[in-house]
Amino acid sequence: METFLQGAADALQLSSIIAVIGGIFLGYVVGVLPGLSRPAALSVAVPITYAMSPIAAIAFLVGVTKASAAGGATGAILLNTPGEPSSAATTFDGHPLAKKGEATRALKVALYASVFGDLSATIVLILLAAPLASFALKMGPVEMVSVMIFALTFIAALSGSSLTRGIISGVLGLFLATIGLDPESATPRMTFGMIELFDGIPLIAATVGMLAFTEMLVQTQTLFAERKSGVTAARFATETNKDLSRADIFRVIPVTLRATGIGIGAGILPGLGPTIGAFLSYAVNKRMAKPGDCYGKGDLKGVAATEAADNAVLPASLIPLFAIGLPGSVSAAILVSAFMLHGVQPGPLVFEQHPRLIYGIYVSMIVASLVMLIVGRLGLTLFAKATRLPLLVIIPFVILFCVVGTYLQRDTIFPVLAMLSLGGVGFVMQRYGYSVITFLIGFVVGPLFELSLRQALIVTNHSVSDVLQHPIAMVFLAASVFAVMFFLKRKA
Amino acid sequence: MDSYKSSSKFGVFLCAGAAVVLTASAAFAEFPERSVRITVGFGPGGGVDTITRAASDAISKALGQSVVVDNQPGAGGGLALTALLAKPADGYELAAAITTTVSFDPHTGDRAYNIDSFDYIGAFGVFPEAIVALPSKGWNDFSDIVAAAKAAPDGLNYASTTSLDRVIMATIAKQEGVTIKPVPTKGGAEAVAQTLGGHVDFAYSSGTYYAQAKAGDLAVMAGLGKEPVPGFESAPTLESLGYDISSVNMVVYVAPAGLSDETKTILVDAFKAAAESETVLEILAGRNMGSFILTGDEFEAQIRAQSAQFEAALK
Repeated sequence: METFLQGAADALQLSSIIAVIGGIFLGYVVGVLPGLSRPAALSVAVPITYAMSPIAAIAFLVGVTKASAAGGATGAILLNTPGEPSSAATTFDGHPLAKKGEATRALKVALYASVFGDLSATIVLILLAAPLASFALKMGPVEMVSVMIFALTFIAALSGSSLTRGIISGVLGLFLATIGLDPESATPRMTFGMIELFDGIPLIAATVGMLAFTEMLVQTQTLFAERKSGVTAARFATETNKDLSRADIFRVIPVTLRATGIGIGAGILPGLGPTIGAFLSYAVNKRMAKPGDCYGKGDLKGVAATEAADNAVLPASLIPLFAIGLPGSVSAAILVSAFMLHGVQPGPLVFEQHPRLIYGIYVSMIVASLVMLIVGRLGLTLFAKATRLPLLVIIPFVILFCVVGTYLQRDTIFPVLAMLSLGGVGFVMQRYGYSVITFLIGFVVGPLFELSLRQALIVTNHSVSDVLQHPIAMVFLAASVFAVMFFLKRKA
Repeated sequence: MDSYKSSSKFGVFLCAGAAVVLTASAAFAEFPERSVRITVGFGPGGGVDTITRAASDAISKALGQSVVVDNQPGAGGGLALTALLAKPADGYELAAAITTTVSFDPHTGDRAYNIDSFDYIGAFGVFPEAIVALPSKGWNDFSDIVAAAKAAPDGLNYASTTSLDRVIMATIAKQEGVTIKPVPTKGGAEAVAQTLGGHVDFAYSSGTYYAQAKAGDLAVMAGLGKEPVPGFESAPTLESLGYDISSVNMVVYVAPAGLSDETKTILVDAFKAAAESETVLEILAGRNMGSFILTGDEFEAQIRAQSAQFEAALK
């Protein structure tokens, strides 16, 4: 208890609190602006922390990651361009809400759901890190393959109006993800001798290009069309209602709870990440819609479903890091280096060796959630005014950030060119009704699925019946089969 | 009064003239006259980046110029080395990678550079590469793994992170006539997690395993270097077990080939000073990378020998 109080005191020192606030601000800006992504923000942030105390450094980085997830919803709701790929699913309901003149209400739900998901997952991390981490270790290649099949069964239902077109763009995404070094033999695949392609098409280029740049092309087209015809349609209905009623809150609570659970689950599993977590949560909640819900047409529930899950993933992905010292995500890996920079080796013994530091980090994570609520609430009124900005101002700025953000990642022009061309591809795809969302899911899941499948085949000696010896995998596979049967029955 | 004014003007003129002469002579005299850039071939926050940033202060002190550290991650350090080829060999452009980016990767094909493309400045620390397994397997060292692989009908599998470990393991498997199948992973953290979860028989890890091994959750079966793994001296090395293969992987600093001798000497001395600085030694110790340092010709001899060894193993 005494160590806990010492740690808490460290976390509540002025310097640590300032670090958290600074991190939240930086993260929020990065989250709100399309094009600037979390990995880019962290690479900017890590060198800043070199001069800080361990607790301030880690609190700062935690602030950046948490707030970038929460800020991502803003662009998704107001501009239809998610600030982070993990907020892509928020556009489904968030943007229609803004068009209906409910931008502030959507932003409020996004913020409260984000903070709720984040805070709950942080508390789970503090209380249950050890048992959850040992569960995560049980998830081997065979289990991961079945979890991904399960997740894709649900997400496939989001393919839009035409299933065929959804599948075509999903497969196109998978195909693009095969570019790069073969994970097993390290043979270059379709790189045409370009060393830039050895690590594949940069994820940032694909997400920024297809989500933000494509949308800007679409908006430009609308702008020109309006100029030609001389008829200007109002982009947004006037906001009449800015407040959430008690009934709204009660409607959204069950969705938020489910989404938080799904987000925590996705966070614990290695590699699944916030984007898949948010999509899965949206798909599951849409499946469980009650009569009167209008997912996809502007329902507050849809916003809560993605944002709570998105934000719950991050603290949950730190569970393996704190409990056994193994980072489960890119953000966690960057935290490892922050630990090591300050002479702390993350590992199973970190709690015995540095209890005061770990308690301090826990407390500062909770502080970060609260600061996020305040900063988000203050920013909200300001952000909502963005709907009044003319497209002529928005489009060039968003494109500028797209270019800068993709350039920052590797300091070369290659990702920028990839982003611009994929943005063009996305524009054509959208024009003909091929979903860029299923494309991106294929692109994100593809490499993970391929690696896990090939690992599973090696460890089982290519014997498929071996899956019978993996009870966790059996549960997920059975659930996928039931889900497919259920979906088909409902359609018929 | 007038004469005073004019003499002061004359003085200004003299000073300006002297300054012009001084700068002109400096241009011929001493490298470096502007800042030196080190492009790190890995992302910010990783081992190579942390060590380089820690060393940059000491390097800059020794050179008397500032040092700019950039990151250009990709292809295991290969992207930064490829980019370095296009830069002038004047000593102002350096790159940081790891030994195998230079000594191993070009042999696997499709690289624009090879061992002759660079001048070798310095190498810091050795990654404590090792083969690790769960203690509950009951193996004492790597020879027990080979025995187990002989007994198992389908052989054994292990979590692999680089193509280098695949070549080493394939060489051993061939020599012993056993089957050892690599399970590809995304990196050290995943390889260690797969081993801890019992999904693979053993793992190759370049350093992530260390905390787990210290806690007793993993056992070190063999080190890959010439010397035993620091802190686990009782574990054998692959060479001490009779295999003619080793891997000494360090953080390396290279320049485009063709530096003038004076420039190279100045850089080598600056890196030597940095390698002995307290900050760098502290960071290396924190990452269990020892205090081993190679600079200039010694470094070049070592990396060329290793490159030849890998070329032979890949034939």
